[in-house]
Amino acid sequence: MLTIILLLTIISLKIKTKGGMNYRISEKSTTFWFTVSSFTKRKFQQAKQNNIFANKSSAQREQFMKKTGILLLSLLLIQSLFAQENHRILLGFDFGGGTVAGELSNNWSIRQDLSSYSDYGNFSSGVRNESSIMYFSFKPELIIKQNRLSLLSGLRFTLFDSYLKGGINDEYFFLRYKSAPSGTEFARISTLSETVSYLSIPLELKYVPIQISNVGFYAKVGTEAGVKLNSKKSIAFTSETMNEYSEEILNTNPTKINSMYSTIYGAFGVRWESLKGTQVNMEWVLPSQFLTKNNLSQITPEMYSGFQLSVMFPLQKTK
Amino acid sequence: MKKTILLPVLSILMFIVAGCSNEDYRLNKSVFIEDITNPGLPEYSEWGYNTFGAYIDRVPFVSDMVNLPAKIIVNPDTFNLVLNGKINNSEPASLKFRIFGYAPATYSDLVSLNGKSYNLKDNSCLVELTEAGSVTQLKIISGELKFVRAQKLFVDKELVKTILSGTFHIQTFRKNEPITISGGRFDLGFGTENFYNF
Repeated sequence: MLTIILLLTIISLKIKTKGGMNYRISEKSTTFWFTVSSFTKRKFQQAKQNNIFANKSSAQREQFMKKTGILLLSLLLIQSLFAQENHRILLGFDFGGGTVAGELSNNWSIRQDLSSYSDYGNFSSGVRNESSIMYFSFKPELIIKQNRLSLLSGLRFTLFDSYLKGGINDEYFFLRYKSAPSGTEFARISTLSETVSYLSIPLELKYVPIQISNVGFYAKVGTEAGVKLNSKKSIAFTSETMNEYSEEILNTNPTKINSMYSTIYGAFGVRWESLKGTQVNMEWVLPSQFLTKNNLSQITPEMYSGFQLSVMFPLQKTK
Repeated sequence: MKKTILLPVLSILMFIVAGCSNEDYRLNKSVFIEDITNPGLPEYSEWGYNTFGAYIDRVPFVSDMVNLPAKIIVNPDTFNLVLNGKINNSEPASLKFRIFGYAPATYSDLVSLNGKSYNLKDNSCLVELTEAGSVTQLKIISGELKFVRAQKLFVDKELVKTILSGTFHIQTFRKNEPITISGGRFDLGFGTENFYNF
């Protein structure tokens, strides 16, 4: 057993990878393995003194030895993953944007319209939705595995813009904002708009499976969680005389914007790295899911997609 | 001479435009949203979608896009609600409900119908079915016309229409054979373009 431990310790001292990188000897690594081997040696001496193995068969002793060996091997593998190599930390910024897809919310009573009467069941809603997302992040990136695998986090500011407008050939739509015994009130609306901003912390994992010279192609998955900073709604009427009623009409939609915000997303991208270590990344954000609800009141947002550009600067290279 | 002609023409045009300021063609259009539980018929609504529909036995009788779906004619103390549409999407037909003793002066007075029901077998009511130009006064076995909701419609704070929404069903005879007009529903807007009192 002691022989096995010694062998493992020697192996861990210097391992050459396929890429030619050496796992560098660290004081911590050496100390770790000598501690493990000392502990194991002490335990075996105690066991021998207490005659633990006295009444055990040779098969049972062998089983015990195997389990111990597997445990040590597992420890070696775990340690090797985080064996000290050339970790890199980068700091940078990213900027992204795209469109948000979702269904018209039932919170607004909008009169339907019809483009083709003969197409039963195939009608235009009389209103168009245009919703977009824009975000800006400050991100540190920790490259942990041979410049292929990295962890990113940071702080992200996200802005949603949502507009409801008339149908394709219509300059306005009818919004019903009051229905009472005394009568029903419609307003001709040019645009119903909403702006919501969030501050979130993203957490991303990026993997670069293909690296050709200084260009790498990567895939990324991430999630974020944040809080609402601000929200604002506004109405543009076709008749200016209705402007004095804008607050009354806006208040007819009781939907409260969720103060929490979370999404899960993925992306494919390409990374270019300069000789000095500066990286420029361009990525296509895949259709990404909202994990929280009621982040917009005009539509029920289901997913968003778009593009992102980021620039990362090397902070340090550990030795 | 030119100025003498131009001025009255311009005045008339301005008068017409002013009179039409409350009119909105989109509110006069029909919006047909099919009822999935009653295929071929419009969904019951109270938006003033200018549609109606009913099954004559199993055949849909519904409003169409071309013809004005409904008119109200008050003459002089009889209220006539005329529904114009097509049977089986091909045969033009109209159904007229006549209520004696009810005479609203203007379309805004139609709100007095809110929540009212009429027994069509009663002597104060008559029902006529017009098919292929032939008008038939229906002999009613049983029937009801119900105005579920009558509401004034304001657009940008101006009164433009009165919306009548409701249901009807009739058991009667057609070509000497008993038939049922079932699942009848209507959601109609009435304004200056389809309300008559003379």
